[in-house]
Amino acid sequence: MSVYWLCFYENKEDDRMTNDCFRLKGSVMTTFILEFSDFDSDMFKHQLKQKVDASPEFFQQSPVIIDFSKLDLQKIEIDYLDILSTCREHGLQPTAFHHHEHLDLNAIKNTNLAVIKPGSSKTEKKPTQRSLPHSSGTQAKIINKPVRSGQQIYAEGSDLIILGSVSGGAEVLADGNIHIYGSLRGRALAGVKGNNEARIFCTNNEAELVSINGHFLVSDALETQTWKQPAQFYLSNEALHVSTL
Amino acid sequence: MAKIIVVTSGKGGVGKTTTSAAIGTGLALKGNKTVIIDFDVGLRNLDLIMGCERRVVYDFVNVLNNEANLTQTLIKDKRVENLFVLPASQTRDKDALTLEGVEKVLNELSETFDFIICDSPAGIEKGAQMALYFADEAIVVTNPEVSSVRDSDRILGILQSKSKRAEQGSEPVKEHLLLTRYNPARVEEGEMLSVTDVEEILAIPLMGVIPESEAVLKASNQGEPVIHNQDADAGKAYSDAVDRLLGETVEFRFLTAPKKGILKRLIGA
Ligand SMILES: Nc1ncnc2c1ncn2[C@@H]1O[C@H](COP(=O)(O)OP(=O)(O)OP(=O)(O)O)[C@@H](O)[C@H]1O
Ligand SMILES: [Mg+2]
Repeated sequence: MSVYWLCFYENKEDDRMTNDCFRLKGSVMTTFILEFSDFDSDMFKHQLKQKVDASPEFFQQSPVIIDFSKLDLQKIEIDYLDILSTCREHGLQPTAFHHHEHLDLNAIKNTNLAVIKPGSSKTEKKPTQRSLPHSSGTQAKIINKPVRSGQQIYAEGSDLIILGSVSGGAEVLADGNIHIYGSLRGRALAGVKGNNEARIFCTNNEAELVSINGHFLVSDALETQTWKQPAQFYLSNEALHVSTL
Repeated sequence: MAKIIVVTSGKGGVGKTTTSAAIGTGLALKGNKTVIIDFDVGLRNLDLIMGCERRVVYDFVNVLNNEANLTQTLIKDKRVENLFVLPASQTRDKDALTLEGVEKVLNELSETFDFIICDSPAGIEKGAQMALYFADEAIVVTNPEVSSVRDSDRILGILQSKSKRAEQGSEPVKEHLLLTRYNPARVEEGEMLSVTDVEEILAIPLMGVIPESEAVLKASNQGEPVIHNQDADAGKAYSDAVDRLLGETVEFRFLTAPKKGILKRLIGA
């Protein structure tokens, strides 16, 4: 089992909606994806407890998408309701199932959860997408002011450069690298469309969460190394590393 | 043309109304024609702190609904020349305010006043957004604790994205940080954030630090804005803040805990 922190949904605002009391907005959101690499009910319960116990605050009320795309559902019997109740016991809020050819739609119906097909998840990336942030001439997105709590900035197809701090409760995402000339107190997610080479740099590390291509660390784990120092984050052997700058 | 200043915070109970009353009074004391508007529809607090609750006849919502005109509704302060209060309705709810209505009232006030102070309700939703929408400047009231600082940060984000100035791409709302209920002794004990901590996180210019003071409670109970009490540190600190708002450079006071006198130390107090 692995838990990913991913950018899962994205499209442009639909300007044609002219409805008066609401509008449908496309947006970039981040969520946990609970991706099963194997399924065993007891093992799942045990491992989820371990993960959540490691940073209980962080997972409270987090929406989560359940993803069986790595499993052969024709061979494995899944108790959907049992998974949902285990998640809820640990404070996670299952919101949807990731699309899978062999999902048991009858069983799913009873759960009242949606089935979604993320536009660009790491499992569907194409090799050409991977190199996009590096292609010469791609203009980095530059933000000249602090990113405040509650704000979200996404650099699509490029690097993101922030001249200022990223506040606690703010979130910055990029398909490429993220450079923060200031304090990182919120969340930074680089390489969100499946770029393992992406890195995050900041001049002061007090991050809530950093993630590169879905591999993430939360502040409990971050506070030990490079805390309140200039830092960079990068992936090596499928693990997220941090070092001083 | 009046300057429109919103007093806002996100978090509730941090001292917005106390500040609106003190700063509004301070501006009027310096000869500026000033009106303080209570945007906290449904709660109505400003008139109590200004000591004019018994003279409320009409309110902001009556004006918006054309049930009364501004002249009938504005309450003239008894102590200070040039100072007026536009009270909120106690009986209506927040939905009584509309952007068009508020704009019309602000435009009319703008013709005769120098400053319009908008006392925002708590939160970051519609009521707070209504109060800040037309602002030229914002006084962000913050207490030296993590949750208050976080909410101030959110309000700063909203000022930069949802105000009229932001939407029209004109010059951004000018931001001022006002730290209130500051208790230097508790800061020194590490129980509260320091001025430097808060400045570092919010990264906007500091316009004042108001110490935690019993004079504030006394002033609200008497309906007399604390800035009138120039014997109290809080009153002096608000005067300094008004001077800074008007562009003067004033040294900061009351940032450290008073040292124990030699006598007190001898007695071991
Ligand atoms: N400097 C201070 N020292 C001591 N008490 C203070 C100080 N400033 C404000 N208070 C007290 O804090 C309380 C809340 O103040 P106030 O009503 O001004 O806050 P507010 O932000 O307007 O609240 P609301 O969000 O409910 O509108 C009051 O009891 C007030 O007396
Ligand atoms: Mg108030």
